[in-house]
Amino acid sequence: MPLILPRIPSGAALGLLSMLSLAACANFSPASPPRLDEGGAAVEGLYQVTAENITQIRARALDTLNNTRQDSGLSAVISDPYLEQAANGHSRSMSDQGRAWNFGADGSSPPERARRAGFQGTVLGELVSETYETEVQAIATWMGNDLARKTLLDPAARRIGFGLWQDISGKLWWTLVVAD
Amino acid sequence: MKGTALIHTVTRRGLFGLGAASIAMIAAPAVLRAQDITFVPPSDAKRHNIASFRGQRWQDHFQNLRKGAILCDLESRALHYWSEDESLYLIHPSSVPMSEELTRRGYTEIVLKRRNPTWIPTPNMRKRDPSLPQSVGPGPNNPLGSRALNLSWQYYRIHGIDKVEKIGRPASNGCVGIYNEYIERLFDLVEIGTQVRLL
Repeated sequence: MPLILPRIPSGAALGLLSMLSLAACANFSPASPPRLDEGGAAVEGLYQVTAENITQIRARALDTLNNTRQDSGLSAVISDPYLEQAANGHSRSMSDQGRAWNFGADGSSPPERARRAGFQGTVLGELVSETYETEVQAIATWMGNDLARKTLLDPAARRIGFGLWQDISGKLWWTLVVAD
Repeated sequence: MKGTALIHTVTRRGLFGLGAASIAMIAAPAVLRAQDITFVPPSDAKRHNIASFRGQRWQDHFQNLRKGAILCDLESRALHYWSEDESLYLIHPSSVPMSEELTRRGYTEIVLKRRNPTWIPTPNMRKRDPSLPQSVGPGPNNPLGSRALNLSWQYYRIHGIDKVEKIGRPASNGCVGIYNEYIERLFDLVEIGTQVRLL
């Protein structure tokens, strides 16, 4: 499983590392799971992704999506390791590009990245968000968008890949690839 | 187009500021200055930038692939191309019309291929902006980029680009622009009569 580490800009690594430890004492504990309110928002401070809570985050994203699909009478989806790899890579790429969109710095499209990662099926859609929102909020935000909702509620969807990258600022880059 | 880019920049700074302000003020003022951070509380800022892409099958849009087919998905801001023998399927990010008023959807086809085209503003463009030049010859400032594919609808083209920031954003007067390197490749693949749908 890919480990998400804070991104250290070159030349500033030491200063930023000391900032991080200061922040950990003052504002939040990176090791504890994020506390969410009923709406799925982070209760206080930054929503911090760590090696400890990333499994929960992925599970919660899958549950949220499946509950949403179930409410519309649609079948559940499962997580696919190839799609997850493609989604993670794209989240990192968006951070590098400084832009929330569906194309890679090399011009790659969602179906191309899925195929490169080893996925054999058909990509039905890809959703991305650049935000401080949690995975639960990100899915709610997508549900509120007509085009994004078509992908979340695609009756043909069977497999997904949920990817993320967190900048050192705490900013999150979510990617959800949906396939048959 | 300019508006979109501006909002994007402000948001990125604002959100970064939220994350780093309390942390970095004590520890690394040099880094802070370098980033030019402005603190904007999240409630006053846009909370997210989202985008979505829809996969496409040519069968949902075309009867056949005779002479190849281009689907411009204006919602996903992506251009799809399938070659006649289906050996090639390309997907490229594109610019899309700036407003619904400027948007035309439906079926058309390529009627003319132009290398290093000269750009001449349409009468409507000139009405909206009387300061536009009479024409712009080939070169880096040409809004059509290095190639233009005229569609059967007057004034509508699939073309290259002068400013890369237009790609993936609502930035055109009705046309669809893609990066010059991609339009140059597409130019060689398509022919007069290649089918086009703007979706």
